[in-house]
Amino acid sequence: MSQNNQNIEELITLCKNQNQKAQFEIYNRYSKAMYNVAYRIVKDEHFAQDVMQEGFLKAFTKINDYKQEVAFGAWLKKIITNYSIDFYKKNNSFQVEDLSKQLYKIEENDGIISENIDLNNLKVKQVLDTILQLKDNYRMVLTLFYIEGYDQEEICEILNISYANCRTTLSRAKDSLRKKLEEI
Amino acid sequence: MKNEKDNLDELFSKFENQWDIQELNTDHQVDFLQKLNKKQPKKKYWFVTAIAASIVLMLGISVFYKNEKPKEFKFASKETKRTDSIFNILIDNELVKLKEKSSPENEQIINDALNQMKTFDADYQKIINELQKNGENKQIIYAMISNLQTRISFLQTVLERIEENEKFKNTADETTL
Repeated sequence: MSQNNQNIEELITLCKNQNQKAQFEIYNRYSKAMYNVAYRIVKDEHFAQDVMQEGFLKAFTKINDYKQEVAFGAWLKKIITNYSIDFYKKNNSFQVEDLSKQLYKIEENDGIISENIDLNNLKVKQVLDTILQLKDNYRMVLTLFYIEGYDQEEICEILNISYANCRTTLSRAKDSLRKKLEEI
Repeated sequence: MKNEKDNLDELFSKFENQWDIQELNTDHQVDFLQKLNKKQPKKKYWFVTAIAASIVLMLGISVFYKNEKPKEFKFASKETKRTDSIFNILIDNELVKLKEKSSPENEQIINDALNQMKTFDADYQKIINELQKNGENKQIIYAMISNLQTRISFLQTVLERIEENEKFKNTADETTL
């Protein structure tokens, strides 16, 4: 593990000197993970690859800003995530609705209905496909929260929404997901 | 309700690190290498132009300091003047076209273009100053014309880019409908 880490640091130093081999090596290490990050946001294989690669190029031009406060993968993922969301917004008039100002009456009922779902037999692909079918803002919040592992504050920042809105959206997204999973 | 939440949390933690199920296109590496290569020379090119520009500037300054006695204001020959005015009309035309395109989406690219034009203008001013000081010679006329040509082709490229964007946007809209 430490061997691996050191290698990454060396590679980053080389990247700061615009070494193409090092850049390509980094690309090879992270492309699959980053491609999946992009795919979960833009929902299109072709665009995801484009966005991912452009994101890498962007990261390489900004590599001098990377100060090793976080793991390189996390730093890269943030760039790819932001870039993917920007891309998706540009092409899909996606906007996070402000749910915190609306009333939501069915909340309690929902909880009761879905009390006894058995989630144990589900497969990764099923869950992922179900999330992809959800409304854009539910999908984004759930993906960022559960899959990419961002906390609510980070999600607020990434999606540029208020904390209250983020919380409401997340809890409704969970309800919605639970309901859909139950139908499987 | 609490139980439910745990359910979902459990589900997702169970699948942690298993989410990356999409496979990349087989030729993605070739694709990326191409992009990487395309990007690099561009950068070098800018670097070279930056150096060239600074050399021109330094030359300008040194010439400025050497020639202590200022010569009479004389803006070159008739031909040079005419070239200047023809090109400037063309450039103004392109600028008008560019400004017509302004819209929230294009705002950034247009602003960038206008900024770039400002640098070109400043360079041009330097060339003219030098021309006035040292009279006409092949080099300075060449610098002047290439500045004008660069500006025009730059504006045309920007316009093309904007039009491409618009086209892309329109077709993208159609496919989503």
